[in-house]
Amino acid sequence: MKQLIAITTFLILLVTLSSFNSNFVAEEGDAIIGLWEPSSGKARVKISKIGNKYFGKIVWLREPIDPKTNKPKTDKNNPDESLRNVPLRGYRMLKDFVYSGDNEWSGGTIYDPESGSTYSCTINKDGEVLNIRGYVGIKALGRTDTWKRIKLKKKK
Amino acid sequence: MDHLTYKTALIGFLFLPIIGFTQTDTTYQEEEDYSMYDDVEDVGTIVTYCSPKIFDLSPNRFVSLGYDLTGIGEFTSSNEGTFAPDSSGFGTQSSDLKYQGLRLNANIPVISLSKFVWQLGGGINQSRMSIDNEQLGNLGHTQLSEAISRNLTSINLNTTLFKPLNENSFLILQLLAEMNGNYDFKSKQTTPDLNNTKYSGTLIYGKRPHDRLQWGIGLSRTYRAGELNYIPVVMYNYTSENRKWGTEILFPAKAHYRRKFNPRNILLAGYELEGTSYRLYDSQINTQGLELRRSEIRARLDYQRQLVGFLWIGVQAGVILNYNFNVDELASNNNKDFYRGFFGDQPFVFSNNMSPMPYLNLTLNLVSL
Repeated sequence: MKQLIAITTFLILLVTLSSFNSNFVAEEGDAIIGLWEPSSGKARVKISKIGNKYFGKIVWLREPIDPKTNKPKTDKNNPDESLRNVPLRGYRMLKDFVYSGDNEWSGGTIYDPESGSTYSCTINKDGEVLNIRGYVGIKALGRTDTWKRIKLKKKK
Repeated sequence: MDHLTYKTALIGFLFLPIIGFTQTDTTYQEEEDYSMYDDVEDVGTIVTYCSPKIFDLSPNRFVSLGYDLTGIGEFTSSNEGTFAPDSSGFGTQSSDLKYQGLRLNANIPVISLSKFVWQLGGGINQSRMSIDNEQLGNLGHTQLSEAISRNLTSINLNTTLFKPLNENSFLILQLLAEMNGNYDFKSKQTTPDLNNTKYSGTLIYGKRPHDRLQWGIGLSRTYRAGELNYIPVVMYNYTSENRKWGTEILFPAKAHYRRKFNPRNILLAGYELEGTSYRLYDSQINTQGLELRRSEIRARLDYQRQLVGFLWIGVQAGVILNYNFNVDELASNNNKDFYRGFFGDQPFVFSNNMSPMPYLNLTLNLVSL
């Protein structure tokens, strides 16, 4: 009986520790959550977590209105014609990122609304800056953009 | 009691991980009121830079594998002599000539940040010349023809730097080193010599007023006309307001009208001036080596479309118009290349011409849009 209690206690401790570790990794991964501005300054992207993956949605555009139509800008460069009327604001341009440790999120994709192309992507966080590298096939064939964290003004 | 302890332990074992994981809040909330993102805390001045591209430019090629082939043209050659740069002293004898060859080029981004882009590239381009052997003897001098028929190869390394100065102006610097000639590595005499490397470069200052226009002016040291020249260049990349058409111009090297059928399907119409100077190894007159100044204008239609993902196919069809196919003797004092420029009057040792010929170029490209 004592042996059973000892084994059970050991298992509980083991699972508790691994659970703490998972929480720790998850919390580390959550450091990417928040509001970010790409270097072009043309948009703001909110990164959130859904399940165990991270997604980024365009929530602000410097020029939200299409001067040609006088209506909110849509995803008019999308290769899929049926999606060209989808508003850009609210568009999920970062998808399916998983925290892989060491301040890196990988396995996701980034959508470039200006060309209508979706690239493989990794994200590295350096302080309050994200280095976002979109690439074709291998990481060497890509481009890195720097996004800066921004915060909403507190309501008075 | 024992049974109870065991059950408690088992329940704890089964449910602890779930308890642990659910401590992370992964709830995603849809926001409908986007106006809340208008007001953000001052994070200091955000320096923004202009992009190296504008809307709808033809895709940037990371890797390009192609094959180039021409129809038959008529090659006319002078006898050995001294022919002024503006002479038309072609001989009366001619030979059928055509060429084909592999073209493999890569252009890899080393640093690609919004504030600085540095690309490194390299390539190999071949022209496997086919001259009619029977007609070859009729030209009167087999030396030149034999030299050319050993095929012309160009191996190059290049780099491009793009430095945005602010949100609407930029600098572009392109550098190119080429090893050109009829070398084949079969003997010491036909192995390329690094001392014969040709260096070219272009510096452009440009403006990018908006997402559909990019223009610039600059200076280029180039061999595109077959021999070394220093020329001004003008860049003008434009996309129309309806985004159906545009221009891609780097005058005088190339100029194209672009028609976009859809973002994955475009047609370019225009020309490109292609050329460089080739060392003719194992060929000499007296003790002087020879350089073939080769340049041609390729007037063409260039159709590019997506195959799958970032893999695109390119088909060029058009006419090659000869601009320069003359041969120079190297400088007599040091057996090295020399500068003639537009106004020099050093004579060519062979004056050649080639009739217009059709050509076709097929490429498979890994691209970035």
